[in-house]
Amino acid sequence: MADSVSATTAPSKTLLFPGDPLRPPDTYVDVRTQELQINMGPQHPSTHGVLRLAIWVDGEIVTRADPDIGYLHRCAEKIGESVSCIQYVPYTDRYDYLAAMNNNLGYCLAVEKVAEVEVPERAQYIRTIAVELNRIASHLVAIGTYGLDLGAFTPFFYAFREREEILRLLEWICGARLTYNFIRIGGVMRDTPAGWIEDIRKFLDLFETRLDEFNDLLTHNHIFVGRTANVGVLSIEDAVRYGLTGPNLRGSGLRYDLRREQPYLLYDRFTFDIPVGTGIKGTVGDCWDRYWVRLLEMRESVRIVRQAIDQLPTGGEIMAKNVRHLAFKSKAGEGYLGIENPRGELGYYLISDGGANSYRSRIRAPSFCNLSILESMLPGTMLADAVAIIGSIDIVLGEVDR
Amino acid sequence: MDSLVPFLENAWGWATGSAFTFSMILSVLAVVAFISVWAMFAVWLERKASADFQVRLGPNRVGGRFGLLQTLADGLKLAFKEDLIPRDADKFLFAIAPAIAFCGAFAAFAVLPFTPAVNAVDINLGVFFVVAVTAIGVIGVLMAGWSSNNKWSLYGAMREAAQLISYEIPSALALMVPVLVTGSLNLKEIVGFQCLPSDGVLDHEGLIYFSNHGWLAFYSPWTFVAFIVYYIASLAECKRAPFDLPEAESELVSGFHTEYSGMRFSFFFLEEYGMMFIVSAVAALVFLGGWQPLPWVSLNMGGPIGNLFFLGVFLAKSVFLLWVQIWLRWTLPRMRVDQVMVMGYKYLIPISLVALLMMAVYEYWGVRYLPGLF
Amino acid sequence: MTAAEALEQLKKDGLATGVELFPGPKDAALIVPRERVKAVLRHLRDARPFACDLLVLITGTHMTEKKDAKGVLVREAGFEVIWHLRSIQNRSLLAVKCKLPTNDPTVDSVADLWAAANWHERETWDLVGIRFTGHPDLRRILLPEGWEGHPLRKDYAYPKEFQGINLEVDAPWPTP
Repeated sequence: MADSVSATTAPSKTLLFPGDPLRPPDTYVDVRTQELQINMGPQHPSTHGVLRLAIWVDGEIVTRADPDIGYLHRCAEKIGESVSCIQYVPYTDRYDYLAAMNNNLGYCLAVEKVAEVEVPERAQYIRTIAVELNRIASHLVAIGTYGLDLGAFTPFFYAFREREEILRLLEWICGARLTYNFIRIGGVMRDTPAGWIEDIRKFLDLFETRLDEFNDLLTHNHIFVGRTANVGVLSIEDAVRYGLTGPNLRGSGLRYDLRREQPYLLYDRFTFDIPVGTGIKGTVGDCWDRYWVRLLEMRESVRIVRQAIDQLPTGGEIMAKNVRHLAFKSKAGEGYLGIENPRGELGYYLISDGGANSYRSRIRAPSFCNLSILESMLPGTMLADAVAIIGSIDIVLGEVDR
Repeated sequence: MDSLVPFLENAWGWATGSAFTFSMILSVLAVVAFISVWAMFAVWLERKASADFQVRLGPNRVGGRFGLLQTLADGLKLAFKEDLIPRDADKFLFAIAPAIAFCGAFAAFAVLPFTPAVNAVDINLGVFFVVAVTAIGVIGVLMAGWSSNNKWSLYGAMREAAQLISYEIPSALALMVPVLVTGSLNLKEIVGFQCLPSDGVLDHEGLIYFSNHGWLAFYSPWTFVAFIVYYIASLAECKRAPFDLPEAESELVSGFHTEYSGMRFSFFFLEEYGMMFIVSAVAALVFLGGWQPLPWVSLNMGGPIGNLFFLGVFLAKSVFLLWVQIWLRWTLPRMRVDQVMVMGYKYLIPISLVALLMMAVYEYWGVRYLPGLF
Repeated sequence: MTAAEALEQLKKDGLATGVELFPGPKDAALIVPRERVKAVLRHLRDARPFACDLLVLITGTHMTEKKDAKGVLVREAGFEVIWHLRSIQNRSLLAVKCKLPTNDPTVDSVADLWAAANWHERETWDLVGIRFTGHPDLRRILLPEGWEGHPLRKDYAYPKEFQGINLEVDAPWPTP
């Protein structure tokens, strides 16, 4: 480009690089290179929604990244102040729409903590089953779209085939495929339909064998490993400093899972492992580790669901008594409750002044915190790696923007 | 064309000039017809094959159970779409870029022999011509990326330029290995070498005869290496996965053709599928015995029936190689740009150079498989 | 570690001046005066007995004055900022509260202690309008630049227009 090359001195006869010893110092041509600013998103195939990343690139190398969020902002916390807590449950579906059950659960547990509601045991088991199935579905989307980000289309369809089965099971119990509103304050919406449990068993048997297909197709694929191993390495210190939780933190090698640290529901009754990244293919905490942790977590969820099905008490209440008054008044108080969402710690902090609506309902969205690390992770990586890193962080924009 | 001109002159008494013009126009029309039908078929095959890999059904409504006319319907849709040119684009370059990109793929068809008798022109520099002319496509892509005035397009175009220039070298070097063996750049003669009878005279042979040389891919270890290198490099030249960086949907939106729509977009499409056919056809001709159905055992056929049979065999081989391309595309993730360059410069070029050198040494020694044994 | 134990430990460490215990019906918290917030939070992060290395959440709340039926003040007007801290070693959650006056909702930023605080503080500034001094880049994060007001304040009035876009809920559809 003419404007970027300005000849300062007399004719430089040949193209000699600056610093070339053959070139006399007074013939330097001032070749100014310029960083290119590109907008990744808000409409971009691999930002998983309406995330806009302003990226400054030097050739293929990212020098600076500035995530710009808020395109999906609905001021969820204001809505929480304007409707009663019973009315608010369906709204929570819309934040992390890939793991709506978990969002229902987080809010309901927080309300139950503040309003002191006892949940029947059978409802807790049903909650566990639904939540863990939803976790598998969410991780399937994460893994499938991660393949898509790296240019492998086929694993996506394999993931969605399994997810379809889970959605069928969840639709069967609550009538919705994405925004369930199944877990209610004080229990669950309805009891398990006849045949549901048997179908889950069948599905789990099939699913465990099909998980191996992912390993064959994607996990150990040489190109896939080349694209993800040693890319986007995240140390435990950085992960903790940025408040990362969930598979992203565990991918860095820290065995930290709220289901084990602060058991909610009935997680202390189940045996399950907490997979962590160990750097099998590269460095601990690289993109491959985060992917691998998600894959292993699906197996653990299968284990949990199996145990929950086996322990499920026959008969019994599925709804707590005396929760209807929550539509009009609640106990005054404030409390924070965090649960392990597929993406990390999902927390609700509620302040109630005794009225029907909570005075303040604050949401700790895991994707929001996880996303903030992009600013420090992206500089120095290649543009293609940026896509790999964003995919491995696994964000849901509905939750980031709330 | 070389056989059509004398035929018209002798049988119908045409003047040489008009016979030449007529057969030229006929050849061009035939190539255009073939490339369109081929692209339709290839797209259909790609859809069905990818659907098969991805536990889906694929097109199954338009044109019967197997959706044979789906591509035609999509082509019609593209033809009727509005031709959008971005406001700040360089309109002239933007308009002619698809045509130039298409030209490279189109021109290469001129020298491809489909059967011993069917080809547009029979020139002695066939291999060289294909390698040279297909490289024109990159100019069209660069123009498209630059003139779109879109940063993503520019990225795609730059990647494409870097990638194509890097992979021209190994693919051309790999093609030099069979050329070294056969001593000819003529595609027909290269095929002829592969079905040369053991005693060297074709006229003595019956319908089925034994050919000592066999297909060039199995002629010697080094030609096999050259075949593999050529196939990998040709994937990169067609911008197919795992080398589809210029289009890289998840990174660059759609790469150099992000801003294109309608017919201009479909020209890029035709170019891509035309290129896929050309590299498959060249691989089939040069390495896999062209129109001969079996290695070492060749058929001596002529006339319309023989040529039709040979055409079928040749197309079947090309379609198989195309299917392998599709198979790879829907199985593998995309490589990163530096990995692509590393693969080209650190592996494929040295390997093809070694293959060329060793083939020369083998030829000098007069051995084919192992020194001192065969 | 509960808030009461944390207060004991803080007293031992000599940092408890002005720190009170917020009893709360559910979650107890430490109430820290505004000017000592950063020192206390830094101590909570660094001192071994606390080791609160994970900043979970920063919440800002606009408190309006509220009196119960007998006219007793149950809620003072002002702002509250709450830091929820987790200790991975101790498996504990600790909340730290700070009360700010209505007319000057300003508190020290902890973005240099926890990188996670950066976005939480931006969000709190954006939605509640609490200013964090010392924050490296206190911009709006969820709402667009140039938005007026802070929606999570109780006295927030929804704007009628934003950069030429009619935002009135009941605005008639533009007729062609």
